[in-house]
Amino acid sequence: MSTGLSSLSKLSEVSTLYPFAGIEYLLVAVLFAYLIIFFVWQSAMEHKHIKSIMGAHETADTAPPESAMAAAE
Amino acid sequence: MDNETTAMTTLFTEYYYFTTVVLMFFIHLGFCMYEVGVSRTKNVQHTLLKNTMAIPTIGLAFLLFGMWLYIALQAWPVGSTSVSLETGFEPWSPTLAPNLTDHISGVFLAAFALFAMTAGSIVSGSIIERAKTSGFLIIAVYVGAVAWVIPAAWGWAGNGWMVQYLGFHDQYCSAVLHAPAGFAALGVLMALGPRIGKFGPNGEPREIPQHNPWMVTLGIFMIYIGFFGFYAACHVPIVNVAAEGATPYFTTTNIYGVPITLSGVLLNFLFALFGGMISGYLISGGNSFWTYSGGLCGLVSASAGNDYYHPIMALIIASAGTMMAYKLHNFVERRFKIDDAVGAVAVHGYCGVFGGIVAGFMLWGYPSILPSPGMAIELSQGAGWFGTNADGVPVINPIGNIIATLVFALGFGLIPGYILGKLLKGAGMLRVPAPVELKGLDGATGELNYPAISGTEAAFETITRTEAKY
Repeated sequence: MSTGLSSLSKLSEVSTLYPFAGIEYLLVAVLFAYLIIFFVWQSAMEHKHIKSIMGAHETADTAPPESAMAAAE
Repeated sequence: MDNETTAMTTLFTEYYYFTTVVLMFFIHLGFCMYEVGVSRTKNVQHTLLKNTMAIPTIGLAFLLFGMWLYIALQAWPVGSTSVSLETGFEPWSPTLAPNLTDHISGVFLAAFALFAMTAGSIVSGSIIERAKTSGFLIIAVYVGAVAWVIPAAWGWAGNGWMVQYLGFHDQYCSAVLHAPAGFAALGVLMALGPRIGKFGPNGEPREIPQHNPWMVTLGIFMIYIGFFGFYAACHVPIVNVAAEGATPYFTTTNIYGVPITLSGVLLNFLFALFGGMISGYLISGGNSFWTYSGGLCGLVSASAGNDYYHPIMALIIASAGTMMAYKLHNFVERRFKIDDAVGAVAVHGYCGVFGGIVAGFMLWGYPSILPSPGMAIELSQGAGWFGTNADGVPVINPIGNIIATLVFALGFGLIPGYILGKLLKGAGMLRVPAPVELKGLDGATGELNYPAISGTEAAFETITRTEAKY
């Protein structure tokens, strides 16, 4: 069993060093999906973050922020 | 590798590009420090992460399609109408992974990817304190993996059609990278609008205080260091440029295969930096922000021809470009209410265009390429629309440089930047709501940026003292 490199006796014949050579198209598809997932996840994360700030801002209309209270004490 | 010459040139080239990549990372360290220093304390983390996340995002996009665009589109659409899918730089190419038959493709791609990240980061600083990260990252992918890459394919390669047909020359990317990135930032800024409070009731611009000018200072110093790597990566460090069968001529070349010396380039780099710093200091009346930014202005202004200029020419061109950029920045800010938080449009956009145009005049008549089997550069049929030398090689000229520079700045920078900005704004992905901008983009986590200022440190101290009954 070998996932790729099995002998170094003829160095001039060695090319790819990474395991499972031949699945490059699949790896590229994984990379593409990885990038798309990142964009979607990041966008949702930022949306949630902004919503939380908006919520805090509305609360701030009636109550001062915690940091201001701490400073006042 | 079965002979000493091939082994020496290949392994040296591999190591050379590896080192440039490490050096260029300092640009990002600098950008992060610089932008964080300029932002207010309530926006520190958002500013930092917005820029930081451009690094992996652009890097992955560049592997997916950016590098292929650079190689595949060099002759298209003028020198050739076909586009190859077998360049060796498709993301599935086995030579981009560990492979004993190829020592160069990986480091070459990595160096280009660092250029790409720099291009994307140029936009980042100008839009801080009100732009969403999600919108910025989409802009960054465009700027980093497309906006400068197609200009580079056409105008920053020996086989690029603009180099061969227009006689275009831009060795260190004034017009190829800085101009489209800087003008894309301007287009996005036009769509984005200024920060709340930037302009007074009568339209007068206000200085929004930097929260840490010393971080800004160190950041720009880091960018200077990174620029040494940027310059170095624009060369082929050792190659035989002799014709087939002729006596070998080993040399370092510029990106167009023409012999140059690192020795001369290094002095030009330093003198351009000096000219920018001195003129920035003088024109701004001793303003530290513009003194440091002036150094970058000087470099970008002289970069297009800094492989050939005399160091004192580089100094003068850098000084003129910096003064122009400072004046134009203030004029555009006042006249058009453009809030460029870090002066990126001036440093990269205005100076990039200036540098590209000036090089066309200064290097008028120089051969734009050196065809050679060592560099795999071939002269195209009908090349040299604006003149050739006695050897039939296209020559550098002002018309070619002006046309290409404007196409890059406007066609790949300003117009797409504005359209992209408008589309993202329409989709609600570009600008944060006003209450968020007022409260600060860090939200609740902002209190932890500087606990001694926000009061969280004192509050925690109170708790510990209470619990310890001390």
